[in-house]
Amino acid sequence: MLLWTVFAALTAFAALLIVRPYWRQGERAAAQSHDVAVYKQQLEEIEEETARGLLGEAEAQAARIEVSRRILAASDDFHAAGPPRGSASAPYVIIGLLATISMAAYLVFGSPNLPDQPLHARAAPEDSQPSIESLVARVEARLATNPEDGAGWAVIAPVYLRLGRYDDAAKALKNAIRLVGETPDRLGDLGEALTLAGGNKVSGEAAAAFQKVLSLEPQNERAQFWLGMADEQGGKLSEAAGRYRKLLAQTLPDNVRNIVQQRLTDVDARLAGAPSAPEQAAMIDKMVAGLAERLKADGSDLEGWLKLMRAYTVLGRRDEALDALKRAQGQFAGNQEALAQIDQMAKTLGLTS
Amino acid sequence: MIVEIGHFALILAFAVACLQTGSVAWSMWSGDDEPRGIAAPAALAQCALLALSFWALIWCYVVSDFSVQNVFANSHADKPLIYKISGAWGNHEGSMLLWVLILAIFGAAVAAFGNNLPARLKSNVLAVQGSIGIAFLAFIIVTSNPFTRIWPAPFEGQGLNPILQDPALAIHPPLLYTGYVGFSMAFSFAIAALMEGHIGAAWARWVRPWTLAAWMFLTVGIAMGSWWAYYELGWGGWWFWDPVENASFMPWLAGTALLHSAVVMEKRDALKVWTILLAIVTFALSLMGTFLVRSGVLTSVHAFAVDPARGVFILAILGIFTGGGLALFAWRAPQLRQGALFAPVSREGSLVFNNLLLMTICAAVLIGTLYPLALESITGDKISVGPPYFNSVFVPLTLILLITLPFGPLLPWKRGNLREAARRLSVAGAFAVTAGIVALILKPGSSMLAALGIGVGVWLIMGALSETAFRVKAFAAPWPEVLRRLSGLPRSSIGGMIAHLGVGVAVLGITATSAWRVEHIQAMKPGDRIAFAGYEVLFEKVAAQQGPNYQETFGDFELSRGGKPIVELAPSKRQYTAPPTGTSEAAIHASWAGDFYLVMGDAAKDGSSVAVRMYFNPLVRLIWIGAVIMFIGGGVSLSDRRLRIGAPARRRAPAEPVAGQA
Repeated sequence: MLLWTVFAALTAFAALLIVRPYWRQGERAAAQSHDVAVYKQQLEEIEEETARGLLGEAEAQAARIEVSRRILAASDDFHAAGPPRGSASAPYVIIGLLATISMAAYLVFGSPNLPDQPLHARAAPEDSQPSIESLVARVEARLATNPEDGAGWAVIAPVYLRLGRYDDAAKALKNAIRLVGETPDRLGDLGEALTLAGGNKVSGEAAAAFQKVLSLEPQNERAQFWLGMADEQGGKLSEAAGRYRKLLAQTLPDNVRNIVQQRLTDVDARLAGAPSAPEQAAMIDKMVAGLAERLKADGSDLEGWLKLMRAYTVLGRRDEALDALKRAQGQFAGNQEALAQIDQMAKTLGLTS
Repeated sequence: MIVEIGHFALILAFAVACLQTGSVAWSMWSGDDEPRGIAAPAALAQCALLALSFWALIWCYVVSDFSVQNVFANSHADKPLIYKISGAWGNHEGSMLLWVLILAIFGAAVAAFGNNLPARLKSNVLAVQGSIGIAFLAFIIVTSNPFTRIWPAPFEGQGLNPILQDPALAIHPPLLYTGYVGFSMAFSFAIAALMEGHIGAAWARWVRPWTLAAWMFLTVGIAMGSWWAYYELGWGGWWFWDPVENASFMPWLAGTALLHSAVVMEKRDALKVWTILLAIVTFALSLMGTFLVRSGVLTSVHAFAVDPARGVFILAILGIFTGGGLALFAWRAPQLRQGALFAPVSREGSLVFNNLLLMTICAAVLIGTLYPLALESITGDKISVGPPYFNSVFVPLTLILLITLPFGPLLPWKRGNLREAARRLSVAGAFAVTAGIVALILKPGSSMLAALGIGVGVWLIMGALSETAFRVKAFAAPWPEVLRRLSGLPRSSIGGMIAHLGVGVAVLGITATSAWRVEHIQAMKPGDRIAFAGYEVLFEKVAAQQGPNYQETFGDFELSRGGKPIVELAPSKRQYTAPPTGTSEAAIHASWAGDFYLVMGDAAKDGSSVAVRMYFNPLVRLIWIGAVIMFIGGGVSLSDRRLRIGAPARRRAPAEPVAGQA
């Protein structure tokens, strides 16, 4: 409402300024006498400048004649034109035109329903609890003034990674590694940040980071897994399968084991030259449908939900995967640990935007 | 809400501009003079609304409101405040808004200070100004709206091109636009004169000062652009004959011609028709310049394919104002009273000669700028008309112009004596020839062109000084007499002298830099030391630091001469994150003898050495000092507020034109 009031005020300001000549007394017939006054003033200036010696007598005389001629012409115009024929409705027509043109154009091009969104207002915390963004901003401000603060970079890097700011995470990790040294965690995070920034493509730089992790910590699951992915992306399928098998021989958390197992199945299938025969697809569909059925009856199986999300994603049925995600979140509302796992899976599958 | 208020103010300004022009059209059609009375207040209202709108846009940039498409595409929350503000006009949409704002300011100036204009002429001028406003505002609102929103708003903008994040470029567009838009005043007065069928006193009183002011701003605007290119692009050059540079240079050439022909018209009531034509052409070139710089009218033929609405709109604006102006000219010009006659050798004659040369040069630049673009759009072939073309056409024409320049102010009006003028220039001639020979002796192996250039520079400076010396009878009359005469000289005359002197200074700088510039490229390791152009350079180390929105690797160099350290130079390479772009910052040690210019290139593969480019640009500083002197000359001339009636002096002018100079 305030917005429209301001618009109305602006329009009124412009309209009143413009129609003022119509409403001022004594303006009407003043145009011609104004012209005559202009020329008379010019005559005075000629005299003044001649007196100061700036204008030669010859020029001055010529100028006087010219100006006098114009005075005559102006008063001729005045008599020819006759009295002004202005109409009393003209100002209202002008105001109407102004309001109509501007309103019509604004309704076409404007966005009256959108509020301003200055950045500082958006970054402000909604309650007394400082938001993660404002904490990040604080650390960033400190790092901007002191870019050699390695501990600061090391603290902020995992936060970036969690927030999905992979480029920033990679930059922060590089700084941290440069300033406070390499650890398997930092190198692993760096590899992961680079990979996720590149849309899950393991670049040479990322692979090098993972290799370094393995040289420090040969059993590191994450590095082995991503190097397997790198092999897979590079078309070295048997190397990839080898890495996955080795990894499965270790003790792994269940969700990781599932993912690795899935990759290995895929790679084996591709090695066997049977990407997805129709029967196989049908079988998978049936299995997935069975799983979905089972979860509909009894939704308490977290692993089942995760498997279902993955299955739908792998099959390219993204909408159903999103639906499964939503239902799983509903099922485990209140169970923070489960929700975290679901979120982790959703992120891995690229279901969160 | 502020965003939408800015948007509404913009649209309301469009409606006001429609009334500003429409009321005058109505008056002309109905014969009733009352409606045209609202043109002046409408011009004031339009200016106030556009100022509000522009302020709103700047506010969006300052607070980083990324719900505005324009801010999102051209700003970034990490940018320093000054570049947030200058980012508002560092892009097509915002710069168009700045353009109409300046246009409206000029219109408001006519409305507010035009009390010495006949009422009908004043409203006609405002109507033409209003019609330019209508065209540009419609263009902005429909195809280039800076207030378009995006929802939901992104959290970070895409950033401003880092090479534009520079103080010189922050103020360059406003200066340039003031120049471009200033020529719209000459255009509006020309069209108004054609509509009325006679050229009245207003021309004398208004056109010359406005043209002069526009010319001054364009001069410093161009100089600043060239200075920026010099230190920011890192190529050591100061002028590249790039379409964007030419776009501002062509209106400058035409504007310079207009300025001089306006002098003839004001003094002698001659060349009226030609002056009107020049006013139209100059503004047409300004329009083209505006669009070439920001919108890529022709620099990229693809821009049309990507956004046909914008391209068609631009062509329509150019076509209507240029074509319409010229058509009106063809229709009405024959009815204009022809002016006084003059002999070929006279002040008028010399100014006509100057005009013809300037317009020929302008045409040559125009062809060189548009031909490759036209060819590309027709055949798809990309050709480059580079410096060789421009140098081979521009240099000889300009040399003729400059060599004849000092004669002009020394010739009396109406009928002159070339031999007499030449006699008065003999001292300047002697200086010029000596300077050329000295140049050849000091720099053996220099080309004749270099010696000629130096000679011409000195010729212009000494020519300007001898003209004044002759006027005040320096060295001929006793000193009190000289001083009395000096104080009696009209300021327009002194201003002209200063401006011509500035041209000479710039020519010296241009010649010296082009002829005797030296460059050297070498891979250097920390600790290396080399000698170059009489200096020794010691490469100390490479280090890194963090800027507000970039990371920087800079080299630490010590510059010394004859074993004495002079200055530490730190050329750097910057890596900006938003958008991810690298720039290279040259380090310059400026002195009167010339600039020592150092650029750090890429590191070698093994990281041990860095490619370092160095240039020595002799006297390069004079180029920009010359431009500043020209600006000052324009200002002095502008301050001369003598009455300018534009009446013909029917009797023969006095033999000694003490009071009758340009």
